[in-house]
Amino acid sequence: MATREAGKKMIMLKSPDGMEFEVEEAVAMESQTIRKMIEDDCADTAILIPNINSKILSRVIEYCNKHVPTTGATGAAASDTVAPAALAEDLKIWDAEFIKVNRATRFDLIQAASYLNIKGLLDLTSQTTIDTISDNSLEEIRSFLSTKNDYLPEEEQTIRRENQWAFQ
Amino acid sequence: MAGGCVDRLSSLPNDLLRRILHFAPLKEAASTTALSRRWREPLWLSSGAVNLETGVVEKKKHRRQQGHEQDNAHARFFSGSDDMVSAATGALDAATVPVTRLTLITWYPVSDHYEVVSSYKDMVEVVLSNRATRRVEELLLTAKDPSGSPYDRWVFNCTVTLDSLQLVALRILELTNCSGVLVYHTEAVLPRLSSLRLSHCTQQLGSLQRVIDAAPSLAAVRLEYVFITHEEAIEATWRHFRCPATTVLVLDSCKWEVTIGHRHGWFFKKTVYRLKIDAMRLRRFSYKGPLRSYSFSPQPLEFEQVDLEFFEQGYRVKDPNRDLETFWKFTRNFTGTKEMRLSVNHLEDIAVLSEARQIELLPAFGRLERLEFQGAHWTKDKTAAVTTILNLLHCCPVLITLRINLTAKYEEEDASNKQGGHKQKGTTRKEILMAAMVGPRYLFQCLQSSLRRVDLQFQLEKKDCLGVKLIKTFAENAMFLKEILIDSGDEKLCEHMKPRIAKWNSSRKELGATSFVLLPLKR
Repeated sequence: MATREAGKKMIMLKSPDGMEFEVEEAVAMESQTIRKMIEDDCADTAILIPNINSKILSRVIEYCNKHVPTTGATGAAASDTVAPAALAEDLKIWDAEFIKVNRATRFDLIQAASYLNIKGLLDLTSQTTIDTISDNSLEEIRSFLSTKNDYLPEEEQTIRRENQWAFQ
Repeated sequence: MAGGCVDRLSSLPNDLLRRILHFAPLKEAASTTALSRRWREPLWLSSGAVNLETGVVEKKKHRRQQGHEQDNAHARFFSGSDDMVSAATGALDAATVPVTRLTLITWYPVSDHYEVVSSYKDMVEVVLSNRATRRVEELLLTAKDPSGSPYDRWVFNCTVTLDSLQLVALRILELTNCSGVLVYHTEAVLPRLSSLRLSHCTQQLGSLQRVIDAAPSLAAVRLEYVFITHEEAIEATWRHFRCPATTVLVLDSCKWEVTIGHRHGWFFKKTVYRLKIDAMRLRRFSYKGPLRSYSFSPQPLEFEQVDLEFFEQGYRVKDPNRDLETFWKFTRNFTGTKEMRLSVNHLEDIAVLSEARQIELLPAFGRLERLEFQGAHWTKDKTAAVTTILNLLHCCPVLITLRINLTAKYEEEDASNKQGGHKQKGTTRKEILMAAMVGPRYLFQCLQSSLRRVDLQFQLEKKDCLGVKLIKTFAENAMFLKEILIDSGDEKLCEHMKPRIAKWNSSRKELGATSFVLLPLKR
């Protein structure tokens, strides 16, 4: 394990397409999956991240870099509900820019966030997905998601009747 | 579009879809069952959330055709609400996993506030009285004006009473555009509440204090555009605010007011200028608003970060002497902080010129390692800007990173006041100060021992450019300087200055100082 800058522990992350990313341990530990590996001492050398290509992994690291608690001097503030307050607004603006990606990338990010268990990124990508489809009729959502309606007309009628209020 | 032909959402595993539906409005979430067979299982009942939005029809209406079909839309708003409320309680009853997130949003039509207020209040009460809300960890109540600006402060006020509720699991409470939480009983308990955020709300101080007192693990309190009143007829215009467990406190554009009774039976309102905050465990504090006399007592010891942005609010007679004192006394609360962001609109108000006043007023930020300073000067004379920077350098003996963002506001002023012709004097004073800046090495501890990085944002001027003068000052005096990053609007400035940097670095070498680089600052 490499060390750099005043005892900051570094971790090597490898994507399946062979790229290597050296990141601070604190940044990597934004991912609960990696945190667990580190805490269980399974992370001596490089960690291979399966299924996440280098393009997505670099974006995920970018996100973690931004969201790692700033001062870092004290671990006490690492609670998941309390983000650094003074930066909260800046972070929101940054997040909004960060998530301006095409749909394919967003889905890749959702899956990456889910596998790596990064709550903030999963919330952000989920919320954005919902924002893009809400306010639309069912037909609009179907065409937007390219979902093929494989119900028989009478089946669909039954389902609609179950929760009529949702289709008004 | 890339991936446009494949339905990637449907191919995600159920667990992940539930996670996504956690954020979906109830209506959309429920309607997904009709998308395709893949969605037949009612995932929305196990998303752990109920996000009720009413008046959505109106929201769309407003976007498309403002003010059209007002009456019609109105009628549907109210009839639709009832359906949605029963859907919400139905969803709470039918949920197969505990509902941990509950969002109640109403988009209300512009007119007839009273009706909407009572309808929203009913909705909140009906939904919250459901037994399933006992497991709710996140409660968000929002009333939104589809056409109103977020700064339109008193548009909608709906009182939410928490007294009768059993919110033992509640961790996060957020209210937007409501009269706030009202807690009358002191025995209310919110054992797990860790974050409270009020935005564009009206709130009584007593009630707010009771909420905070009832929450022994309340770590974050955020008050944004909150109008805090105190109804008791009392004389004093200072208040006491306690949040003993809080580590993060945000006071953004809040207004504190007391109603003072008079013996002739009439009342008048007075702004609270003095506030005493008791928050021992505070680590981060953010304040945006006019200059006030706030003090922390006892002083928190573990400050990490302080963010102060002062601006004028409404009209108040300017008193430069009082403002100067108030400003520096305000900052004195944070002598223990490691990072500070400071933003002032009038540098002229905070510059401490005389040495006697400096000794009296300037605090010592003995732990401050990172300072971001943003300010505007309103006269062509740069005395205030220079003095303030000197004042700050004086206050920060262990500063490592300094960011200065200076804006000159006088140009447009000069242009509009041309016929007035009152020119600024004070060139002599400026000369003296500039001279002082050339040789301050022995005066400032941070230049001698700690300062490593300086970021400068300024506007390039043809003559006497303050930004360039600052580069020179730091280049000649900061012994451990590693880098200066600049943003002057002229991308070529770094290139242009290369020969001078080389010259400075060679003379720095003779002095035993580090060499440094000049780089463009990326915004």
